[in-house]
Formats: sequence, structure tokens, C-alpha cells
Amino acid sequence: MSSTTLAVAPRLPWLPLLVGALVLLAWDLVVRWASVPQVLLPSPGSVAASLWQAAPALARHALATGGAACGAFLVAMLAGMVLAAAMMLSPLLNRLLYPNLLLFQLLPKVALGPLFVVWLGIGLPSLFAFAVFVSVFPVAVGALAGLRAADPNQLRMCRAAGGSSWQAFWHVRLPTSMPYVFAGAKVAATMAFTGATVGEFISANAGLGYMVMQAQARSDTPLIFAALAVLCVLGAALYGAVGLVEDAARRRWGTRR
Amino acid sequence: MPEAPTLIAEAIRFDAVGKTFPTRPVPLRAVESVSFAVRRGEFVAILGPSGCGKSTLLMMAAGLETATEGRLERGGVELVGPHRQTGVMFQDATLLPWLSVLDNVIFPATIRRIPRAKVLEVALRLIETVGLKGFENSRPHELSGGMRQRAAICRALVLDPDLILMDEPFSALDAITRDEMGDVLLDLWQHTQKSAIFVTHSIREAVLLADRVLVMSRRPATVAEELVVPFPRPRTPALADSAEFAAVVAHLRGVIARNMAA
Repeated sequence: MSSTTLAVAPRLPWLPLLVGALVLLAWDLVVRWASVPQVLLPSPGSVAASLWQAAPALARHALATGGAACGAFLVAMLAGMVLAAAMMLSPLLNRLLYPNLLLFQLLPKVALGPLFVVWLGIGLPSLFAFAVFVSVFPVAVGALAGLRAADPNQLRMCRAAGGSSWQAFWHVRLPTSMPYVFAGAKVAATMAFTGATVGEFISANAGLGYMVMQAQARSDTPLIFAALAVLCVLGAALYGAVGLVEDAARRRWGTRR
Repeated sequence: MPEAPTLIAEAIRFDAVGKTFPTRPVPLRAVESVSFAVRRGEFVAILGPSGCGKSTLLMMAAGLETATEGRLERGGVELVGPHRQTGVMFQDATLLPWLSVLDNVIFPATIRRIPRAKVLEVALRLIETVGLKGFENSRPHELSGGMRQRAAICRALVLDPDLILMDEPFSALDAITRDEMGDVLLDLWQHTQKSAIFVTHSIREAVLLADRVLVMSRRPATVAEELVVPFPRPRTPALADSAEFAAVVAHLRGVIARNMAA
């Protein structure tokens, strides 16, 4: 009986959606009955209205934030993987860089944001560099862990076949590292949006983070919520895109050992 | 006067070869003054207990470990690293899980930058010979342990090497599959003139497959005794059921027991 239920179960996550709807409803009822002021907590309805009214501005700012975050994500992926590859292939580089990389991983990197403004000024360059900075570490650390996770027996087999260490890297280490790289990429995807938004808080004249600061200055709390909602959708979209690429890669090369 | 490699009758020669690992606090002496040669077309089994250093011996033959004493010659030339004409089989199949069976079999050609088209026919024929036809596009995780080792045999043979090195290739398999793999190997060797070194701790496997058995001592490994297997080729798996076969196995068991007691 239960197996048939499972077989025909729709792919949409009904239960979480239901919980979400219930929370919205409770939120609406609380705001209505306790007559909470708009500035403190706007009702879902007024957030929706704000979303609708500010749609053109939201879209424009969303494009700025989305572009910066996606660009920063791609640069961080590339830089992180190159960094990991360099540390894998050069023991010296590894000894020089890896402890520092771990140290940076532990730092509250967001706190370094103002430094980027000092160095690169207000605007896109500093916020872009900042977003890359906060998202490059999970990629580098993940990719390096993956490259190191290669099976010693497979590496030995490759060497016995006459493979150079570069060939071992390309044919054994790199494919082994893929699941680790994707795990790092998922963290980097969220970090890129965090970095871009925080960057916009402190150093921008466009983007959803900037919009949030503007709305806050005008005490336009519904608009803050509206901008946050758009930000959530953007973040989820990039995360989902990484997931789709991972699924495709798994279908193509996938093993599920 | 140096001889031309083609005139050399030996596929590989160990000359007073020793190997000491620089472990601490006491260096580990794994192999001591091993001397023997494998003739062209000869199948030599190296028999010894687990951990006696016989795998180290094979890894030196594969060019994956260097000898700390003595000298190895491959076809009359000093061996300094992995040799193009040597195929290696390990204890595990060590197939790459992201490649198909066919791509795994072709892997040595990929590494040697030999065009796929050049080895495809050989690879497909090998796959058919070992009974993996129809699984060319399967992934390793879809195969049983025995099927994976069959694919590993094909990979070791795909570049048509003149020497095959096998390091307890069936030790991870169950007893029934293990016997089956011995039969596959026996069958393959009816048609080839390849030399082979086969490391094992199974007396039965050694006697069934080899022309000559070298019994190793405990660590540090050295050749304790040598036995020429008195059965002509072609052999069949039925040989293992004969009384003569049992007598040879019993004799070797006695040799090993004496060695362990010494």
C-alpha cells in the first residue's frame, strides 16, 4: 500500500510548501490581530504589494546583484580549482599556502569587507573582489581534498601503465575530485550571494543589498522584505543550477560507488 | 660485446636483488639477494606466505619500486621504470569507476597516447575471450568481483606485452570465482607466448598455472626452493583433480612448512 503511494507521489515537495503556507498564514494573522506596525513587521500582503509596485526597480537591482554574484561565483570556481591544482602538484606551494588557506577559512571573512572599500573604492570592483574573496575558499579547500582523495591503487596502476604525474592528475585525481568540487561549489554559490549583498551594503550604488539599505533609511520595511524575497529566489536559482550541472555530470561520468 | 635485445632469451632477470625500506627506527629488509630469470614464454609462479616480501619483488619487476641492491634486467637492458611491454595486474582490479569497461581496458593505450582505433579491435577481442562480451559499456560497479578482474586481465594484455606481472590477482575473490579465474588464465595462456610472473599464496594456483614455482622464504624474501612443474601444456582444469597433481601440491606444502619452521 505504502509503496503504491510512493510510486504515485508527485515530485513537488507538498509538505514543505504546506508548512511555508501555514507560516505565512500565521504571520498574516499575528500582524492583523496584534496590529503590529508596518515598520516592525509588514503583513505578507503588503510585502506582495511592495513586490508588485517596485517590480521594475527590483528587477534592475536583482540583475546587478545576480550578475555580480554569478560572475564572482565563476571566478571563485576557476581560481579555487587552479589554487587547489597548484597546491596538489607543488608540495612547496602546498606547504606555503595550505595553512594560510585554512586560517582564512576560519576568519569571519565578511568583517574584512570595509578593507576592500579602502583598497578598491566604492563600487563594482570592490564588491566583486569581495564576493570572490569570500567564496573562493570553500572551492579551493574542497577541490584539494578531492584531488588528495584519489585511490593510491589507481594511482599506482596509472604509473605502472607508464603514466606521468600529470597524467595521474588528469586521469585519476581530477575525476575523483568531482563530488568534492561540487560540494565546494554549492557552498561557494551561497557565499557569492552573501558576499555580493554585504558588498552592496557597504560599497555600492546599485543591487539588492543597496536597495535594502535605502529602504531601511526610508523605514520602508515592506520593500526590505520584498528585496530579501528576490534575493532568496536568486540564491536558490544559482544553487539549483549547480545541482543541475552536478546531476548532468553524474549521469555522464557518474558512478555512485 | 653487448648482445642485441632480440637475441636475449630472458624476458626479465633478477641479479642479487635486495630491497630495504628506510623505515624507522629499524630499516625494513623486505627482499634479500634474489637471483632468477624468466625465459621468454615461461610462466613462473612465486609462492610464499603473506607479507614475505614477494609483492615487493613484483613491484620492482614492474618498475614501481627500485632495488636498493643488485640489478634488474628487462630483455637484456637495465630496468629503470615502468616498461612499455609489461602488463601488470594487482590484487584489486583497480578499474577506474568513471570509465566504461571498454575504456578501462584501453586505458594503457590512452596513457601511452596510442590512438583508440589502433587497439579497439584487440580490446574487443580480449573482452570477448574472457567472457565479458555485452558488458563493454558497463561501469565497473555494475560488475561482480570476478568480472572486474577479467576486465583487469584484458587491460594488462591490451598492448600485447611480452611480460605479464600478476600480484595475487585473485586473492580478493571467493574460492569458486578464484578457481574460475585460474581457468580463464590457463585458457588464455594456451594461445600466447608471453612470459609471466604470478605471485600467489595458493599452491594449487601455482602448480596449475606455472611452468616453474619459486618458493620464497620468510622476510627478508629470498628464493628458498625452485620446482619445475612436470605437467605438459596444454593443461586443462581437470589436471587439478589428478593424483600426480595432488602429489606435487603435497610436496610443495612440505617445502613451505620446512621453510617456515627453519
